[in-house]
Amino acid sequence: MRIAKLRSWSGFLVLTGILLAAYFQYPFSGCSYLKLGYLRLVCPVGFVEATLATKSIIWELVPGFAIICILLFVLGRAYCSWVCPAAQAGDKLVGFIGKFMPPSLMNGVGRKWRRARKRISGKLNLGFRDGTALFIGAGVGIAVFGYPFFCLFCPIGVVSRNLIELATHYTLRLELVMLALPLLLGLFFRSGWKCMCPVGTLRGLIAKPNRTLIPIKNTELCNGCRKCEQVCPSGLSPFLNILDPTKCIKCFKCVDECPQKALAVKINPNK
Amino acid sequence: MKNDSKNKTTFSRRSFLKLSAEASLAFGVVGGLSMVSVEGDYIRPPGAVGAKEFTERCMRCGACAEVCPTRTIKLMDLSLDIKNIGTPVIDYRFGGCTAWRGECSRCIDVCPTKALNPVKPLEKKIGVAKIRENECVNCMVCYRWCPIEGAVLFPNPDGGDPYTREQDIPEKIKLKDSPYKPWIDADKCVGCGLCAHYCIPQCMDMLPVKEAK
Repeated sequence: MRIAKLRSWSGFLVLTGILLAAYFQYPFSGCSYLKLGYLRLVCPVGFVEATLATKSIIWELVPGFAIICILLFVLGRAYCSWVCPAAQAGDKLVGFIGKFMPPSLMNGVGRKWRRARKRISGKLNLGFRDGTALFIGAGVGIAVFGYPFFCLFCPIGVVSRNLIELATHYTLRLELVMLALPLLLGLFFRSGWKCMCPVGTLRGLIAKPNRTLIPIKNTELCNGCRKCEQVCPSGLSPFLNILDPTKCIKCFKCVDECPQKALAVKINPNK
Repeated sequence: MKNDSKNKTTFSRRSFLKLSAEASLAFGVVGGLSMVSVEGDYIRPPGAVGAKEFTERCMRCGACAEVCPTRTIKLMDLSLDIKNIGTPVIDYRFGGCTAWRGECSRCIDVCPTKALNPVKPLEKKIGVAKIRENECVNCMVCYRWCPIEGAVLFPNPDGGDPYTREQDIPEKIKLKDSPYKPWIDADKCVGCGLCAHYCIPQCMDMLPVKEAK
C-alpha cells in the first residue's frame, strides 16, 4: 500500500498547492503549472487548443511544451494518477464520503457502478482509440469555430477554477455540476473517463515512446493469480507483459496489490 | 480497399467508419455549442485583446484571478454565453483594477497566451462607469480613487468649466443634499471600477465598452 499512500499525498499537495497559490497570489493552477522568468509550463491541451483556436503558434509557450514532452517520454502518463487535480479531488471526495458511510454500501455502489460500466461499454465497445477519434474531431471543431471547447468542460479546469474562486472570493461555482459530465461519459468507455479525457489522450499519444518506469514481473515469485489484471484501471496486464505506454497511467496499483510481491517498478527495464 | 482492410486488423473499414462518426460527433458538439452560445459584452482585465480574439486565446487557466492583488478578477461561471465560460471578467464588487494608478500589471505579466496583451495595455479602456445621480450623496470618494484626472467631473454653477479636482469644488455646493452631483466623462473613464467599488451609497454602475462589430 506504500505507493497508493504516496500517490494520495501527491494529490493532496497539488490540491492544497492550488488553493494556497491562489491565496498568496502565485500563478499556479491546474492549467498553468510554472512560471520561471520567460519559461512557462502550461497544460499541453490548453496550448494545443489555443494554437488551433487562434490559428497561430504562441511561441512563448513552445519551450515549455517541449519540456513537457520530454517529461512525458520519461514519466509516461504519470500525471493522470499522481497529479491530475480532478482525479485526486474525486478520490478525496470518495474517501471522505466513505468515512461516514458503511463500507458495505460504498463497496456495493462501487461494484454496481463498475458492473453498469461493463455492461454499457461492452455493448458499445468504446476504448482509447475512440477517445482519440473524439479528440481529433473536437480539435478540428476548435479550429473551425474558434474557441477552446474542451477548456470549458475540462474537469481539471473546473476543479482548479473552483479552488481559485474558493481562495480568492470564498465561493464555490455553479460550474461544479459540469463534473457530472466526465462521470457519466465514463460509463460508456471500457476503462472509464480516462479513455477519452483529452488531457490524458494527448499525453498518451506523446508518451508513446516511453519505456521507463514499468512494472516488471518476477517469474519465480508469480503464481499466476492475475490480481494485477483485475486492479489495473486501464485494463492492461502486467502478468502478460502488456504494458501500453499510451494507456498506463503509472499508478502502480498492480505493484501494490500483488499478493506475492512479484512485481517491481523498474526505472529502466532494458538495462 | 477491401483486401487492404482485411489484412489490417487494427483499422477495419467498420472501425474506421465508427471512428469517423465519433470524430464528426465531437465536431458537431463543438459547433452546436458555438451556435447556441449567446455572446455578451464584458469588462475584461486591462490589456485584453478584442472580444472575439479573447475567446479564442484565453485558455481559462485562472492565473490572472490568482495573482490579482485586489481580487477584482472573477472567473465567469456557467452562463448562456457558453463560449466564454471560465474567462476572467472584472467585477467591481470585489475590488477595482489598480493598473491605471501605475500600481499593478500582474495579470498581464502572468497571462500565458497573451490574451492580455502586454503591448500598451493601458491604451484601451475596459469599461465605463456611470453614476445614478439621484442616489449620490456627494461623498467625493470617486474623486479620490479615480486614476484619470478629468474623468469625474463636477458641474460649475458659475458657468465655467466643470471641476476636475476635488479641492477646487466650493464646500457649499458639495454638501449631501446639494442639487449638484458629479458625473463621469464617458470618453475619459477607463472603467477600472475603483470608484464603483469604493462608492459609499453604491450608486455606480459599470458598463462594458460595446465593440463595433
